[in-house]
Amino acid sequence: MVAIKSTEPAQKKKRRVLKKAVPSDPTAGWQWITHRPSKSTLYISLISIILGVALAIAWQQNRVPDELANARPGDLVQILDRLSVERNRLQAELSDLLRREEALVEGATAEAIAETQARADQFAILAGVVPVTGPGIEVTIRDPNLSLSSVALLDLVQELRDAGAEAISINDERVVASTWFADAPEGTSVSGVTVNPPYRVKAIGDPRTMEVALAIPGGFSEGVRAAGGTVSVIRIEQLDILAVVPPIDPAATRP
Amino acid sequence: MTQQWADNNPVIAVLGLVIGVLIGIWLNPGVPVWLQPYLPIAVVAALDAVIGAVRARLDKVFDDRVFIVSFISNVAIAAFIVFIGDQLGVGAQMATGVIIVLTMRIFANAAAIRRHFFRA
Repeated sequence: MVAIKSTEPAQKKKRRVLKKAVPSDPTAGWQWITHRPSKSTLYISLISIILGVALAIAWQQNRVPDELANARPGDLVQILDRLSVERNRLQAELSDLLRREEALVEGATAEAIAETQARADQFAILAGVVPVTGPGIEVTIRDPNLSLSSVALLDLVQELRDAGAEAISINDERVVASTWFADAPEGTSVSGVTVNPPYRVKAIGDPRTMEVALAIPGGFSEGVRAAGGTVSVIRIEQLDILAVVPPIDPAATRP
Repeated sequence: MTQQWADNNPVIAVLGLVIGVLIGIWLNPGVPVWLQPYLPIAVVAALDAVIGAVRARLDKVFDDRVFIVSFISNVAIAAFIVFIGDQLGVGAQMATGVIIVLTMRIFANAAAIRRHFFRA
């Protein structure tokens, strides 16, 4: 009896100790990791994880500011239809515009090249850097007394230019914008090259106009004759001026 | 003891949810296009099942088997209804209807849970 009574508190005490010991055991709460969990726990964990993933995906999917992502297939088909119609229209417009652009570029290029070429030719003729050919007159001035000064040649050049001469040469010296005349013994200096009479002046332009211009009363021919010289003018259908001046290499001038 | 701790412990569910969200954010897996319209519906249906499970647990009638079956069937039926609606051309309306029903259930369960905690 006593023995039994004495064991009871001991058992109670033991149980109390156990109860206290379990929560204080640091591994007790984590033993489920190593302990094989029950099936339902596994399933619930799995379902929780799946739900979490689905939540995250749905949330992120919704965060994408794209209305199309949540649109129904029917709406999408309609949108796609509209877009493809629009796309076809724009495609047609694009190819049309491309074709027009191509035509314009080609036309512009050919035009530009032709115009540039024409201007280059024009400038080359004016500058006297290329041999030229065309209808014109050849004026021969004889001056046996050497009574003509360089001014006479300058007058002739002015007169011819007034009459529309496009290219002029004197005794195979090309006359250009920068050409100058000066008196020289027994002749005239043309830009530093002495030319002697008889002067053979070639001019390309309208032959009739130039001939008339030289022959007007009180004009060039009369002046030469008054000074004791002679002027003869012949028209030439195909007059070649082969004389050229070297092209200048401008050091200071810029266009 | 450890078996008791693990079984039906809400910490397991919460932990799983957090891990799942982290995995979802980290991996960010693309959703198949055919599944995209049904995913939000399925998520709401799953939330309904979870809230129902919480209420059942507080009512002390929680049964893991019932929870698992109801969870899966909830998600499947919700998605299927919307799918049928899509086939019939009333997908948007069907989705709205499903969402309304599920939300009403969530509110009802939430009210029951609230009564447990606040007695009101």
